[in-house]
Amino acid sequence: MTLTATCIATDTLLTGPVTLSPSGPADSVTASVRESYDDHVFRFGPRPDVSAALLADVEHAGLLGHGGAFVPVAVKWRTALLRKGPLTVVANAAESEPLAGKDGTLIRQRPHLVLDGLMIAAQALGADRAIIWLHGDDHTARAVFEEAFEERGWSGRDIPIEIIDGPVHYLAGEAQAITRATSGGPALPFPRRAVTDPWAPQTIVQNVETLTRLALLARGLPNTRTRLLTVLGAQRMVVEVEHSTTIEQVLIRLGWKVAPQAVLLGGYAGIWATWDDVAGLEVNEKKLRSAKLTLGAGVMVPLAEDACGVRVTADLVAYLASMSARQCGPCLFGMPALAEHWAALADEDGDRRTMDRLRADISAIEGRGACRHPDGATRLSTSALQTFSAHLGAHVSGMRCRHRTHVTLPGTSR
Amino acid sequence: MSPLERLRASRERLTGQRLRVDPVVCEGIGQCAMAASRLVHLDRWGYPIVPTEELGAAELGPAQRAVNSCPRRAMWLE
Repeated sequence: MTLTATCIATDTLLTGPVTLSPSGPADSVTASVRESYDDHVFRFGPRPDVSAALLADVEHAGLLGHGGAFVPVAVKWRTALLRKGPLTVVANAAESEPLAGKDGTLIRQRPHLVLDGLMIAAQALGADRAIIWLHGDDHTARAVFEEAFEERGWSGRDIPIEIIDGPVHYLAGEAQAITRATSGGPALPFPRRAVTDPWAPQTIVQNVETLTRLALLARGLPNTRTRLLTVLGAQRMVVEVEHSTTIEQVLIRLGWKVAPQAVLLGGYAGIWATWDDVAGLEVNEKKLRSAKLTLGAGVMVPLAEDACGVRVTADLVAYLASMSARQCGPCLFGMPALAEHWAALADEDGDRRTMDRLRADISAIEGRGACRHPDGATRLSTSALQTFSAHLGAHVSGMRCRHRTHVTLPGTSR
Repeated sequence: MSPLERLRASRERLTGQRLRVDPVVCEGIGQCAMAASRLVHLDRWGYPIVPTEELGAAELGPAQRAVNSCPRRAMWLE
């Protein structure tokens, strides 16, 4: 136990910003401080004992999920408490989005706060199983948690939490896929059918950042006024900023000197927006949503002025199509069709009719997938058609693309 | 279904039921679109597009026929 522990305030979740390897697990290339169990207890005190009454506090605080969808935690909890079947609570630590690294960073810096959050959720809901679900290639996260178990004196059969390695796939972190996997099926999404049997087994999936915020809330500590972001510039960085920080301020803080032409918000299945539209917007999710935008799991990719947004979008849609669950029509046929149209547009093989066909296919597959994966591709496509409309005009009218710099986002190489 | 037909249906008593498809079980065989051609349309890959709104009383019969026609049991009323 050191005195420095008291100096670090609890108004941030991270112990500091980190620079990560370009994609994949959130392994930092710079030094990152992991909070030991002693420091954790010293700062936050022991984990409080909770009951189902915690639901009222969760509801009052308006705690939202931080995996990207911002579902109120109280909604999930109330459903779970109404039903009587055996309950599994999952800490979703699988950041399957290739760029996202905020959850992995949180795990590496504050594993005990994550564990507390999971134990608190499990206790409040009277769960029968508590699971940590990892992306298959995140070996560091597993090691961090195992070390944390040891620090807590858990060993052998006394470990109350299972760690499960999911597959190494884009859809591995999807809540329905996790639900299916933890009940013995394949880790693939499935369509939601109304559950009529109150005794049916049930699973609640909560993102690890949500759980750390729950761990603060259960102790009566205020929620932080911050947001965790992963930004891909020259390097992939995870930073924690105040909600009132504008997107422009975030980039200035990260050392951007020249304004980008556009920004991809929310990750590979995210939304493109022009720089002029978003520069002055705060990273506050509520405000972003009122502008019909979202940062999802907090991923931001600024696109430099000299890069071709059509080409990058074509790469992204091809990536999303390749990461199909191969289960339903929109995924098997719709997404490859979108990718094909985008490739034609990027290669300047397309014309106005290609764009019409793209629009028709977008509206044909929207909302019809077994999961939200195809919708990610349609949303990305729609936003790209708007954001790069002027440039697309050049691509389809036989003028050469003036962008010479080839930007390839990690994992999307052709 | 044409806008006019939809308007007519909307004036009718709503049944509180929706036609649902399980897109994973569905193999795009297309029987449903033959059984209820005005209610169920196929996309260009042969997979059904069903109305997302509540069904009107007159639509319930065709919807039930679509459900019954599916060899994969991928459709149901909910």
